[in-house]
Amino acid sequence: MRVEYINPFVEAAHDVLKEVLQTDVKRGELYLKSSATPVLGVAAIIGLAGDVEGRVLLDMSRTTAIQVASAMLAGMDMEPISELNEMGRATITELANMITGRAVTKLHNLGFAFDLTPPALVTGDNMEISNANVEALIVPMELPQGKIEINVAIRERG
Amino acid sequence: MTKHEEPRRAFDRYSGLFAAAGPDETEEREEIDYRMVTFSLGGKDYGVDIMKVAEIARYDRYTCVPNTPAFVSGVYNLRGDIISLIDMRVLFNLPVPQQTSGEPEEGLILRLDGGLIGVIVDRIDEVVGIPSRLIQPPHPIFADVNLRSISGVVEHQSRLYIILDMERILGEAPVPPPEEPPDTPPGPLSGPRVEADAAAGPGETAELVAATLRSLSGFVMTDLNRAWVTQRLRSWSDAHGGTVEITTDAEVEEFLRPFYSPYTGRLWDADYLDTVRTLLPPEAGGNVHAWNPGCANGHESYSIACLLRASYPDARVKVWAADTDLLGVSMAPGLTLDPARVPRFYEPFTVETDDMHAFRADVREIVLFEFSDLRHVQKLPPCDLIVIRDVLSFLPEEDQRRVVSMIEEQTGPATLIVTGSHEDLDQLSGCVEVSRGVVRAFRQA
Repeated sequence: MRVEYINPFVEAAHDVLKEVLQTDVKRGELYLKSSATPVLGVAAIIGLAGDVEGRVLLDMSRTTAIQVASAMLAGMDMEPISELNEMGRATITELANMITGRAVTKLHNLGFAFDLTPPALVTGDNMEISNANVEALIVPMELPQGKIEINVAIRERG
Repeated sequence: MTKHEEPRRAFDRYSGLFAAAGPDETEEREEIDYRMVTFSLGGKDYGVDIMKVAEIARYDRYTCVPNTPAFVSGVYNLRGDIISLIDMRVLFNLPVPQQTSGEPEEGLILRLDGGLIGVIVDRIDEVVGIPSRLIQPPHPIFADVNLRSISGVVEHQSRLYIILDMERILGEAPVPPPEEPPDTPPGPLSGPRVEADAAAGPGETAELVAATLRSLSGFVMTDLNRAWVTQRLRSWSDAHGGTVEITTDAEVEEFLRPFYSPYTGRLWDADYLDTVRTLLPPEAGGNVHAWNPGCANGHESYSIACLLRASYPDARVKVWAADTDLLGVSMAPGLTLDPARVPRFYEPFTVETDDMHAFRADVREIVLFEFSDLRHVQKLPPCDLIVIRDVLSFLPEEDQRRVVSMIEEQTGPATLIVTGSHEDLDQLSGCVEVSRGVVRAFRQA
């Protein structure tokens, strides 16, 4: 992945998570992955188009998703959730939207034009996602609620 | 909050990588529950947990011990206890400043699980107290020191301290050498001892040396470079009285030094540029693309960009450069040059800023730097020129073969492939050699 894209995603993920959860966020080591990547259980996917093609995946376990969604809802004086219901799914989807939106805004300010697709949320056990010939950058974030992996696979359009 | 506004020099553009390390005001009032002794090594600030420090020492007289690795300075008599002395600068491959004779060395006596051990550093600084929650995990950009020897990074009064995990570096568990790339499994501190005795055949010696090279530097001997290793073993043996003994990082570095191609880590000069130019394919279709895996900090990629711009003035030029070293490749787009060391060829392509030279925006635009691992690449960018010097030799054999066959499948006979000076691409592929002068190059038959 082009080096100019890395920092906007790292910064956006860190800042948005810190703001919406009002908590400490520790960034783990960045690394590269290829081929099929196992998904932790709940994955929000946003497609990217424009100068590039690719996607951003926000990946976490079901427990983490419930806790993160509850913390976000509590921040808006709403009831926490105990299972991943419609409100929980909408909240996680929105989180993915916020992070990707922030990153794309930063990239836009650097002169890169990206378009976003509406997010989709996928849940299930033992899932894998394969990146057709695109290497993925993994940005792990450690939260009190658990681990969220921001998995970014972008390639330049030939 | 002035700390956030202070420039962090080279890291400025990538300050987000460090964003998590910035303390904010509420955190600063927190309880100080971690103290570290800070010191400098090669001009950088380091810290070590004070609980591991038995005392701060000045080693005025110590005894050298023959036949030990270079980083062991000797033994020291600490009021009757004999302890080993490790020179951290040698261990981390940092320059050791010239010592005025008789001047004591500064250092620390550490109390580790394995007992007392002494370390030598450039200078002991002070004891610093911080709230432990400000300590951030090490970032992969520090990988060239060796991630596993760092327990964290912390900012204190605008200085960035790297906290070393002494237990892991010097403890009883086998420690990976500092030069080892992060992906390879940890090896022993020094490689297997290799001695060429009369009983061992030359092939056997080569295999033993190859194992050491692989575990300490990631260099993998295959048909691609076997001829060079064989010849190098002969010259090494001649220079060392008929024995081949390669065990330390320093020896591995010395052994591999002649392997590296000319102009590694700097701009190609006029001779090399001209020679590559004579080999370039004719322009076709108005686009010229180059692929440059293992671009490191970008000198090679910019050399290629300028060469292609000069050779194909009317074509659209693009250089795809990639590396796994996140720090190196992150800094590459903004590469600055020391004007005294820029060959004249590059003058039309650079601009002067303050006292440094940088490449013009129209040159920077054509080089696309990617953080990418060659082992994951499935599809090549379009390319008329491939510059892959001293890169394949540091991949496992199956990856060397996979990358070479990918190149064969996805490029045509017009594509020029420039390899390292000592890499025989024809041994791994059906390519034919078209080398000229010091430029080692191949084409598909």
